[in-house]
Amino acid sequence: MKTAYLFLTYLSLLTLCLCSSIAATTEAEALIRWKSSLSSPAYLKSWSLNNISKHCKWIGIRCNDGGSVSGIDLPSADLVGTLDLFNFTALLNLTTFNLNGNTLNGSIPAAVGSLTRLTLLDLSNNLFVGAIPPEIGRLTELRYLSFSNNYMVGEIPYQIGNLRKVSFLDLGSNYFKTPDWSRFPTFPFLTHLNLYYNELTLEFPHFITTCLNLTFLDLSLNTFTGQIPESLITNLVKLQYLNLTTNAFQGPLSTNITNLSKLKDLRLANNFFSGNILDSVSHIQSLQTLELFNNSFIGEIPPSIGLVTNLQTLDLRMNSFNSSIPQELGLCNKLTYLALAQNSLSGPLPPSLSNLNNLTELGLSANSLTGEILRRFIKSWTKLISLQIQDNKFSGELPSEIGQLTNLKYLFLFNNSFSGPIPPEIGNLQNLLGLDLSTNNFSGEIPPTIGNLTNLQIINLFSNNLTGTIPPIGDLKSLETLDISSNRLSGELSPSISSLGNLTTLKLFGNNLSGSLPRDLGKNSPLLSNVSLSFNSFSGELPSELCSGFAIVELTATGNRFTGPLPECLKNCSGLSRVRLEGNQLSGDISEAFGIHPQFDFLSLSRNQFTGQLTPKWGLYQQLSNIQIDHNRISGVIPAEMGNLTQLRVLALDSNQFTGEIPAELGMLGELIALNLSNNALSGEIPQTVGQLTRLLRLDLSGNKLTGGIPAALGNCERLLSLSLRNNFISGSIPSQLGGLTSLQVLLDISNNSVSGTIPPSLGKLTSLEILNVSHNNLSGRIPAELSGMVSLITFDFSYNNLSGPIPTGGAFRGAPAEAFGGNTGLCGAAQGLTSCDANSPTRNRTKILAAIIGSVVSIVVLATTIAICLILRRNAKKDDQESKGSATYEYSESLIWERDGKLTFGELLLALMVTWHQS
Amino acid sequence: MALRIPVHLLLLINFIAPIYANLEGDALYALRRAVKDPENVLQSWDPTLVDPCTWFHVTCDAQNRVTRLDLGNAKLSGKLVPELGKLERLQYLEVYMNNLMGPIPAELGLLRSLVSLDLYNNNLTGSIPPSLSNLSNIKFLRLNGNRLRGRIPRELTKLGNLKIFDVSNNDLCGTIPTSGSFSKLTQESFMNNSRLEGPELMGSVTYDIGGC
Repeated sequence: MKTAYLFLTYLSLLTLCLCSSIAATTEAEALIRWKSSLSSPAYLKSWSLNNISKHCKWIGIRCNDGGSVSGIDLPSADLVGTLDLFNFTALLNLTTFNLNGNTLNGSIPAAVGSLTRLTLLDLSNNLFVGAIPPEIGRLTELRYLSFSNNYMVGEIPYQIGNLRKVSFLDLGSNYFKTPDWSRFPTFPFLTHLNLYYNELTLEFPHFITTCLNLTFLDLSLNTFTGQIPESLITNLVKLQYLNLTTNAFQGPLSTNITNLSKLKDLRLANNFFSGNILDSVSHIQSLQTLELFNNSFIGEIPPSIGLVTNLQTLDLRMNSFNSSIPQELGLCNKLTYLALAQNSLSGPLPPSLSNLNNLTELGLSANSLTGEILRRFIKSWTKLISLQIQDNKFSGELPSEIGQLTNLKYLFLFNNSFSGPIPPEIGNLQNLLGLDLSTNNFSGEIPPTIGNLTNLQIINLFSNNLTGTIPPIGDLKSLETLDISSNRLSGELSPSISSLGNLTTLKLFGNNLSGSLPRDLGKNSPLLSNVSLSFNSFSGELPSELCSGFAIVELTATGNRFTGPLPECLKNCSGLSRVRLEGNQLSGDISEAFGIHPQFDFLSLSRNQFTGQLTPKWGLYQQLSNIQIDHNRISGVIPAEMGNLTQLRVLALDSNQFTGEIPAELGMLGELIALNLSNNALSGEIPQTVGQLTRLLRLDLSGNKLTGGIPAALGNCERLLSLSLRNNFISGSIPSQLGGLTSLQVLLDISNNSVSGTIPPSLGKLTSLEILNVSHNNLSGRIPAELSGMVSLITFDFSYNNLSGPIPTGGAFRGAPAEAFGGNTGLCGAAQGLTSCDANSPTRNRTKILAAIIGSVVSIVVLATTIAICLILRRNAKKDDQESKGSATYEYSESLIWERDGKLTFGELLLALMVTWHQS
Repeated sequence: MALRIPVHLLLLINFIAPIYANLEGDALYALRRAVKDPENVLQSWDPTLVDPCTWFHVTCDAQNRVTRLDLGNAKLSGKLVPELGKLERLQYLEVYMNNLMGPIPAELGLLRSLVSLDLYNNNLTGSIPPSLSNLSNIKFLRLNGNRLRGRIPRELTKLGNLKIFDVSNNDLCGTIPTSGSFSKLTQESFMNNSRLEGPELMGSVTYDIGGC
């Protein structure tokens, strides 16, 4: 019996042992099978069949006292593969499962729900896709759950609500969508909840405000809307970290936010929050980080900000704070990051800011701050990496102590009123990447020490009063942008400028620079794309390798004394967009100068000595909006293909040697606002298609050999301000349609042609026209009286025609000079030197008529008054009646004068009154 | 592992460097920003360029100073901006026949070179700024066809070069000054202002008392 008992015991023990070892073998085999499914299992070298009995010693494996696997901890183990062949049901004793930071993809198998003893599941930082399996809800022992930073999708399953013991829940940085939050219960132990960077929408999830133990809450980078529930502020008093950044939350924030007295991090940036909140927030003394940027907060930066002495980051950018900077801010001397840009702050910086000696980033740009940058500030801000105070009203000199800020990478002072010299000590800022002092009143020289700043990528010193020469900067190998335009710099460019291998933008315009450009400029700068040399005194040729990298997009050198041809490489710059070279002495064959430039937008070569012809390929530059090649020596015909340039606004080919006819195709340039073909040798007729240029403001065809008539279709160019056809061989009559060009203001000139017939009276409708010249033609008949309707005329010339009859008497013709009518045998009128048409000059006539009218009116009044007085004397009664009669008479006389054709000037009226007064 | 760090969280430095410095260009660009431009007439107005002289509808003199602004009949709506007063050499300000609203900026009185101010046929409101009397070179002042109110500033009579003055078709009130350069004007300049009371006659009663 006893033996039997012993045997049974042994047997059962054996069985237990056997079973346990069988189970262990199954677990190990399951692990091996999963390992073999991975494509990169190097880290799992110890997981081997040879070693199967010691699987509890395998890397990342932990066993319980019974020898069963209870933990898999393989963070950052370089594992590549899926969980598809992971046999969850073989590993039911797992309590922790950590694969954080591998390269696992695929979805998370529903079988994960069988690991009901799990307290930790961390699959974060992998490439998992698919949804969270609802079976997750069976893992009711979980304390720690993270799927953070994967590519998972779908609604967050409400079954997560079963995980009542969870204290750490991180679903951040996935593509999860909004579930029905009302199915989520409270999580009594939850301290850390992260839903950041998902696709969550709708209002603040209510369940969160019931998780009273929360210390960490991150909902940033979603699209939550609506207001923040007051219950968040009243309930979650243990919160230390609250991040709602980049959502669509709105409304004023409750001033009860002071309840959250344990907060260290409060991040509300990039929402639509409003209200005056800063004073309340300032009473949360534990705050270390406060980010409110890009909201609509208002009010002052309160003195109470000085209470938050633990503050390290304060970012209030892009709100509507509108006070001065309180001196109490100087008490926050743990601040490393202070950003107040783009508010409405005013006044000077309080001296107390010199206490902020831990600052690394200071941004105050785009406010209305005034005063100086005190020496004491610079002396204490030695840890600064970025100093950005641009777009303010700061003044005074830049202290030389700036050279002590040797950690500085960005120094942006632009758009202020700083004056005095740029301190040479700036050359000590060895780490500087960006230096922008533009648009100030800095004077003196550019300190040569700037040449030491070998890390600099950007130098913007434009729009100051800098003088002297450009110092050697050949060692600035990182330099991408050099803009020193609009100063008073002089001298030649140092050849060292040619060695800047990363240079993309070189702007030197608006200085007094002279001499030749360094021969190698561009040779070592293959990225050079934007070169502006305009308005200096440069001479010599443009360097032949200026565009050796074929990267030039904009080249402007207007207003210098450059000679010689354009660099040949220009035709290979396929991104070329803008070329402005007018007012130099450049030469060469224009047909060779350009290649294929699909983005070619603007060309001005005016006032140079270019030769050659325009070839049909010009019709290919379909983006061109401006072609000015005037005042050169271009010959040949205007190619009809130019009619394809439908974006063209300005076409100026004047003062060249063009021959042939004006192509009718130019009528297709429907956007054209200025067409100047004057002073060439063009022949043939003005094409009728000119009438299609309905946006044209200026048309100048003068100084050619054009024949035929003035096209009546010109009357369609209703916006014309200026029209000149002078100095051609144009014949026929003036079309009456020109009278419809009522916008004509600057000039109408058809002089020096062979135009005949009469002047159409319709020209009188040109009431804005200031200059009219029809001289030196064969016009005949009268100058129509209607022309006195051209009330804006300042000068006009009818001389040397066959005009006859009286000149008009009104408007500009009154007191006109005789020269305007000379060379017409039959004209008469009041102008000096003309024979008088009549003994009575019209002006005096008018005055006489007026005097007669007023005289008689006054006589009637006097008569009436006399009669009235007589009546009064005789009857001595009805006094009131008489007064009203007198008054009525006066009104009558006034309206009589007013109604007379409405053309009387006030001067004439006064004159008439005076004459009447004198006569009576 | 997946590293999906949102770029805008890394944005530490707000890098807004204005790369132009031309005062006149700035002034004109302020106008571009203040108006709607359905026909893209102002498309070429790029503030980063050397100067505004290559902008379409802008004319400069040999010193690259703006002398003309030709934006008549351009379907612009919006407001005139005070910055226009900075165009010291502007001779012609032609913004007639648009849909401009709001007041005539008093700063236009700073345009000492102005020969022609054509604001006619818009929807301008407010009164005629007395500062326009500083435009000592002005010959053409056409404000007709707007909704201007208030009196005609008497100071305008001192504009000795005035040739055309047209305020017809507005809602002006009070009396019409008759002295100085206004003595050459006709009634046409003032037509269709229903509350305008007629010319004040020298030596007669002046009507210019009280509000209007």
